[in-house]
Amino acid sequence: MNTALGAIRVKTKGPIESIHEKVLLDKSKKRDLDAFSKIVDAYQGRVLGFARRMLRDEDDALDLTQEVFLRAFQGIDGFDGRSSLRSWLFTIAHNLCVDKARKRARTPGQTSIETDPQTEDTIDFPDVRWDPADAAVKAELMIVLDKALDTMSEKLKSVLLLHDREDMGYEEISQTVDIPVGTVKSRLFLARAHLQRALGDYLNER
Amino acid sequence: MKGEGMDKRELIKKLVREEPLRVDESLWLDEALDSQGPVREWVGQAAADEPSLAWRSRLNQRLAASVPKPRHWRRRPWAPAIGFAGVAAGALFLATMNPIGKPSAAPELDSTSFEHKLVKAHHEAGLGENGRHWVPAEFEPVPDL
Repeated sequence: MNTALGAIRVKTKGPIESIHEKVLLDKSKKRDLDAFSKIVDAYQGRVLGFARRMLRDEDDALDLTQEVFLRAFQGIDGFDGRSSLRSWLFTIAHNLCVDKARKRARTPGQTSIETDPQTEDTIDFPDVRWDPADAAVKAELMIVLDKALDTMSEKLKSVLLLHDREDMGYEEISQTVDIPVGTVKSRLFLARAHLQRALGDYLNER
Repeated sequence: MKGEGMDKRELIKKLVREEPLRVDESLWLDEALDSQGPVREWVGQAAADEPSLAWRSRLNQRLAASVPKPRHWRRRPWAPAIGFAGVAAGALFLATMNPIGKPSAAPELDSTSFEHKLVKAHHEAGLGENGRHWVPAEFEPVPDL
C-alpha cells in the first residue's frame, strides 16, 4: 500500500544477519551514525507498518516511527542483546503506541483504539477457504483486511501483527508485549477470528 | 478437532477474559490456531510500508543532533596557548611552594645509642682546651712577630 508522504520512497531493506547486526550495534554504541542508518534501513518500513496499523493515522505513525529510532539510538547503550534487535525495536514501538492510545483516550473528540469491539463476545468461526490468486481481488482483500484491522482492539492487533506480519514466535511476542505466552495465543486466536469474520462477510457479499 | 465435548462459548469467554485454560482447552486452542493458517497468509501479504526520503532526511537530522559534538580546537586557536599557560603557572606554583632544599632537622638521638656516642666523641675531639673549635696546625693564626 502506498502510504508515505512525498513522491520518492526510501527502499526498505530486508532483515540483517545476526553477525552483521552485532557489528552494527557495536558501532552504533560508539555513536556511529552510518552504522545506525543501516539498522534504520532494515527496520523503518516494518516499524512504520506496525505503527500505521496500530494508530490508524498516517502522520502519527510517521512521527512515532521517528521517535522509535531516536529513542533506540539514544538508549542503545542499554540494549544488552538478550532479546533480538527486532524485538527491542518493536517493544519501543509497542510501548509508544500504547502511550499514544492512552493520550487519545484522554483527549475529548478522539476515538480510543483500546476499546474492544463488542463483536468479540459473539465470535463465530466461518470457514473462509479461498485462494486470493487474482491480483485485483487480492488488492481489494487487502483493503478489507486493513478496515478489519481498524475495528480491532489495540491489544489483539499488536499480537496479530507481530505474529502474522513480523513472523515473531509466541515467546518473542510475550517478551515484546510483556504478557504471558498463553495470553499471546488467546489474543492471536481472537484477532484472527475477528478477521475471518470480516473477510467472510466480504466474501459472502461477492 | 479435539475437545468436541467442551462448551465452546464458555471457552471463548475465557479467552476474551484472558483466564488460564485447562490442558484440554489449551490443546484445542493450539489446533484452532493451526487451522487459521489462511488468515496468517493474508496478513503476511499486506504490502510493506516505505517512508519518504523527506521523512528519512528529517530523521537523519534529528539523529545527528542527538550525537554529542566533537571539540573543534581549530576554531579556537588561542585555546592551546591558554592550556600551556595554565600548565606553566601550575609548575611555577609548585616550585615556589614545595619545601625542597630546606635543611631537615637532625633527628633526636638516644643518649645510650652508638650514634650518640659517636657524635659526642666527635664534638669533644673537635674542641680545644679553651672550648674553641680545634683547627689544623697549618691554619692556626701565626703570632705577631
